[in-house]
Amino acid sequence: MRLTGLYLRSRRTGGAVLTLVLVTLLAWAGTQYSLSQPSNHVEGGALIPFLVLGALAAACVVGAGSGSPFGEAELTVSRPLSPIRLCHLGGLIVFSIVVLAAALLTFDLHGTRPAAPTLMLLRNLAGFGGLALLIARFFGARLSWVLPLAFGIAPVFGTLSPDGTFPIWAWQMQPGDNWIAWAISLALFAAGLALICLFGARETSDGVD
Amino acid sequence: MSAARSLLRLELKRSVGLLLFPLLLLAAWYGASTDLPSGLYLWLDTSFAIRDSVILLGPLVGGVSAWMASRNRRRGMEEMLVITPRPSAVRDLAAWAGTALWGVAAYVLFATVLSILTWRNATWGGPLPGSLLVGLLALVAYSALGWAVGYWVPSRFTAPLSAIGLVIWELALVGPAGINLHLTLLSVASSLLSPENWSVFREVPQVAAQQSLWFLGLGGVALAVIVLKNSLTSVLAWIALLGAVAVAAVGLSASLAAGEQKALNDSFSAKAVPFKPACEKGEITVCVHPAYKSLLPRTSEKINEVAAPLAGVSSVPDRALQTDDAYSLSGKTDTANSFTFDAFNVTRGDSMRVFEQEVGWGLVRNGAVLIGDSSTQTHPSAEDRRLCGATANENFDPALAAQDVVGRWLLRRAGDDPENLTQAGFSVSVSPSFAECPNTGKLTKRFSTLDPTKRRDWLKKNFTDLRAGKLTLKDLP
Repeated sequence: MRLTGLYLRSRRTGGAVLTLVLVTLLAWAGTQYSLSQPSNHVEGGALIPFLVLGALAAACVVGAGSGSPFGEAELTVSRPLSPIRLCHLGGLIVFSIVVLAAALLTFDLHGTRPAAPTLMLLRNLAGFGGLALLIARFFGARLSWVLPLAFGIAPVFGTLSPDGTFPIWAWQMQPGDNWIAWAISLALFAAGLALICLFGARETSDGVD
Repeated sequence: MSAARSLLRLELKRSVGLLLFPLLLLAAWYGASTDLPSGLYLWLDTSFAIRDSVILLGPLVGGVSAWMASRNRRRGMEEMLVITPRPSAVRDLAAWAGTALWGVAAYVLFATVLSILTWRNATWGGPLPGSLLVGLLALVAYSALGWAVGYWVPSRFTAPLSAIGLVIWELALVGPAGINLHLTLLSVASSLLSPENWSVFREVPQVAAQQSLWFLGLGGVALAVIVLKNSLTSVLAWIALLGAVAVAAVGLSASLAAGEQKALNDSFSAKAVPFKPACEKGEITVCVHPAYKSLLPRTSEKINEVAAPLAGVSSVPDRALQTDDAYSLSGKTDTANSFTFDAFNVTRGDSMRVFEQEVGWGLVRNGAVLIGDSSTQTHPSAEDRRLCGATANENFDPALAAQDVVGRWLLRRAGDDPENLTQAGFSVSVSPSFAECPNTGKLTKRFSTLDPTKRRDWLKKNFTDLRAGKLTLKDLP
């Protein structure tokens, strides 16, 4: 327990948790304001920034927090690090889910069932989180946000197909019950979390943040 | 000066922008992908596409700048740099420029490639320099904003959150959650100045100066804030900050005022651009805007293909003219001998089939007559109602319905499937008072199966009246 505590402190998990709360509050306030405008409504996509960018921001925070401040020296510890990493990063993702979902449930959805946006939020958080962790594993934690960010925001401004839907590669924009999008995001999540728990983020020459 | 240049060269090499340059290029391309030319190069589309590349590129460069801004702190070099002889402002600005220039390089490279392609293929007009300048200034401003945030709040989370903040800024002004249309000019890709709203036929409102001032001021404020971090007592920095705030304020108020312009909110009220049409002679002489000259052979072929069964019939239009008011109820410029069409959407998502449908419609009706005018609308007789079938609109226009039948026959002859017509190309968008008859398909089939000689005789005798809206369903053979 003491080791876990020290590990979490070394990763400045408290700062990450505070940042996640701050991000959620800002996303909640922005969406609440947007929904209060007469021209915006849930069916018209007013929740999309919250469901995509909120999840993306949380995932970037998790990814950026996955780096080790000790470099290779940490690999010499006698205890296995995988369970502690799982506890740290899995815990941050679960925390993100809880705060973002709690914020989502406070919106006036005008009769729309909250299940669909909640599912979309969960899926996006899992997918972006997995992607950020994958990038952290291969390119280091510090720049782990670049690719998820570029990929995450691209479809927000992109073109719809002629039939008014997003192409399947833009899984973050698919409805919450699209199983292909779920499969992609769960695969990313599983791969990212497994790799980062087993091997940790790649060490870069940048030193301590 | 040479020391500053050397410093800039070093910063360019050390910037993560070098590593991420391919991604920045990709972001520029994807951000502009919705406006990229497909099959036809128009300077208007190219100018908007280059400017819109900043939609994605800007936030990414902002995020990368925020990340680079905290580099010295990450590496524990802040105190060491204080003792260097160069002024901290030069050091800070060189470091910022070393990252911003990679974003600018991506923008310029993308703009150059697209401009060369357009220069080689476009047949009319030139680039909109104001639009390109707005994109460039916005990119620089986003980079400076990101750097300022990263410099003042150096955290591992600042970079992604800065980039997402800039995306939200864009979304709030132009995206699906857009808050206020009048604020849209504060965004680089204003929804009022998008390729969907403008064509080569109308002058694009000149609002680049207002937008440029806004982004110039915004970037200036951010840069002054960067310099002030290490030079809080610098009078020059404070003067620069005040100057930048003033420029931003002027740009803000001018952009907000420009957002109210009538021409911006209704492109049809904008001034028309004079041009000499490019024409191709044939049974029907087809004239298009010179910007669409490369489409002229295909357009002429399609129009004449649809019109082929009407060869020799009197009062068939012998001239087709491309306009931007083909769907406009008030500005129709059809005459007895010509009809207008709108081909510019063929390159923006509409298919050639939609275009054919428009041609079929233009051939059989004189758009200058009747459209949307309830006082001159023909009222359906009992026989017309019976022929039409149970329609949702009891006051349907039987003259339009008769024209619809002949128009569909023409399309079928040209190889189209008129039973699956889209609303964009036929009837509904042209005349809101028209309700499609349930029996139109049957009536078209009946017209198609007529003896060719009999049908031709009927057309020779009645086409003038049909096109003028004087015949109804009951008059069809």
